[in-house]
Amino acid sequence: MKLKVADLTVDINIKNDLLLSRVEPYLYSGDDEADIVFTVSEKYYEDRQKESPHLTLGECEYLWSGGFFYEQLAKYNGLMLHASCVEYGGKAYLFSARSGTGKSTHTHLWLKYLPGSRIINDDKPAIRLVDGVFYAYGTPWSGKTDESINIGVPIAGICFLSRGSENKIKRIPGIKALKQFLDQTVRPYDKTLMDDMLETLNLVLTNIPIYEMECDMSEEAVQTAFNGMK
Amino acid sequence: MRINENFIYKIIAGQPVVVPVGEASKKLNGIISLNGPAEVIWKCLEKGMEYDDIVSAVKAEYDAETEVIKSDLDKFLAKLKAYGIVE
Repeated sequence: MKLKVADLTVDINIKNDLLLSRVEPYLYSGDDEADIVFTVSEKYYEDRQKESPHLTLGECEYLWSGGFFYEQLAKYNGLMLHASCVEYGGKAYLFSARSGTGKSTHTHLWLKYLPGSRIINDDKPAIRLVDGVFYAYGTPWSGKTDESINIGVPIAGICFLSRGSENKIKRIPGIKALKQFLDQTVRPYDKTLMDDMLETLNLVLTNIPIYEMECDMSEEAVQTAFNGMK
Repeated sequence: MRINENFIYKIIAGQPVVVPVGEASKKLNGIISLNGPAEVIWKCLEKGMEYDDIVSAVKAEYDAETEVIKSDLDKFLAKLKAYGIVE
């Protein structure tokens, strides 16, 4: 089966319902050659499940295929960020933090208070540099809530979120976000892929505005974020 | 002294860093920032330079007493060895 994800053609075997349902908006029936090929035997996922018995076979397929995709992105000037990505006014705003901080809660407040905004990828947007522009993309691997749109949107900024009693946002130099970014991305095992990913990361941190924000989960938080990043 | 090939040197957003890959990334979580003399030392290690030549290279770039340079170099090398970065 072929997919178009992040403007790349992906050739992949899928057997389990979880991933089958997630890839529906990404199915591709054209003739473009595959950029990324992921064909593994059933045994591969069975072995993964033996290592992680709390996961179903379907979850193993979902997780490991996603991991492979995000590693391979490195070959195409791309990487993954664990973030909730919302689009407003034609631009993408990415909110990243450790699980449980409230990234998704925050972006869903955008939906409420900035009408016309939409979620591009609620969990793991792919970021790619294409023709000099950084795009954030929906992918089939968009987390528990399965919210994504199969498009790429130019990135306005990336914000690292934490909870606070006041809403404050500030722009930070890319270097200050390096550790946080590495904590929230896929780090390829392979040396060449890692090298490619770090090249892209350098460009991301040098060219995309990066922010840190403390926020409560209120309407004011949305206005603070948008006004700080627009 | 040899650098473990499972460590990549990169300049990211202006900061020289060393990043583990492969098996090394399973043992070491994180990256190492190379500031000041550390970057010079790293470049020397990449070239396979020996201890005394490294001291000279650092002294050429940084105005400090040889004893201070040696002391800092020893600490840095000890750290690199502890992390398995240098063999």
